[in-house]
Amino acid sequence: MIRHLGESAIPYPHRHFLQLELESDKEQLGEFDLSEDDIRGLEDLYATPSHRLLKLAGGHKRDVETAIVFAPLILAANFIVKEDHMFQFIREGGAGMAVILLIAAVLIYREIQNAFRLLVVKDHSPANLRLDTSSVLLGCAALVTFGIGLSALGIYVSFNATNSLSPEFFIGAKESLTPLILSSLLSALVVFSHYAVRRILTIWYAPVA
Amino acid sequence: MEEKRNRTTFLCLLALSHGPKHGYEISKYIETKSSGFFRVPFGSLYPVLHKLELELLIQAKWDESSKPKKIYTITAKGKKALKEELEAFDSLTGAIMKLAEA
Repeated sequence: MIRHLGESAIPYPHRHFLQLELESDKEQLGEFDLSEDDIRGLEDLYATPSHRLLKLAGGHKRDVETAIVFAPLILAANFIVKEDHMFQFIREGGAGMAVILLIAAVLIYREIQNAFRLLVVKDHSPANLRLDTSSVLLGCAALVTFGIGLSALGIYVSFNATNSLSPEFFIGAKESLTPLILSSLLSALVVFSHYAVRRILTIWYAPVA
Repeated sequence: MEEKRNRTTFLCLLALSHGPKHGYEISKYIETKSSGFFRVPFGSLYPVLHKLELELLIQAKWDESSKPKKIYTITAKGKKALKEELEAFDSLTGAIMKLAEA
C-alpha cells in the first residue's frame, strides 16, 4: 500500500474509470487499496508506446523529449528564414520583433512540451497536470501588449517624421503594424493550443489545474 | 508473479464463464466455489481483468442502474481460450494421474 491510484502513472481516462470501478467495489468490500505490484501491473498495461520508448532512453529521457519538442520550432525557424516574404515581414518590424519571437518561442515551446507529455506520452502525473493557465494567459497578454506598444511607437515615429498623412506616413504605418500582427497571431496560436490540450484532458476526465 | 497472474487469469475466465459479474463478485465467486482454496487478493484482480479486456477475452459494460458498476462478460474469444486452457489442464492432470497410478 505504497501509492494511491491518483499518484500512479496510469493515463486518463483509464485512471478515472478504474477509480470509479474501485469506488463501486469498495462499497461492498469496505476500504482496501491496490498494492505497489497491482499499480505497476496497471501502469505497464496502459503505458503508451511512446512512454515505453522514452523509458528505453533511461537517463537521457529528458534530452530525447527536449529534442522532439524543439523539432517543430527549428522547422518553423527554417521556414521563416527560407521564405523571403516572411523574412521581409519580420524585418519590417524592426528589432522589437526579435523580442516578440523570443517570448513566443518560449510560450510555444511550453505548449508543445505539454501536448507531447500529456497527449502523446500520456504522462499524467500531478506535476504535468498543473497546466498553469494563468501564466500562459499572462504571457500572451504581455506579448500582445508589447506588440501594440511597438506598433503604436512605430506609427508615432512615422507621423513625427512626416508630420502629415502623406504616402510616406502610410508606408511607415504599414510597417509599424507588423509587431501587432505577429504578436496577436502567435498569442492566438498559444492560447488555442493551450485550451485544445486542456479540453482534451477534460474529455479524458483528467483533473487539470 | 507471472505464474500467479496466469492462474488468476484462468480463474477469472472460469468465473465469468458462469455469467456476467463485477470485480467484487468474481473474487467472491472464486473463493466460495473453491471452498476457500483459491483466494484472489482483490487488488490483483484489476490488472488481470483489464488485461483480459484489452485482449478482448472479456468485455465490460457499465451498469448505470443505481451506482455505476462495471460488469464483465466473457467473449467468444475468451470462451475459446478457456476451452483450450481446460483441455491443457485435463491433459496435465491426466498425465500426472497416470504417473501416480503407474
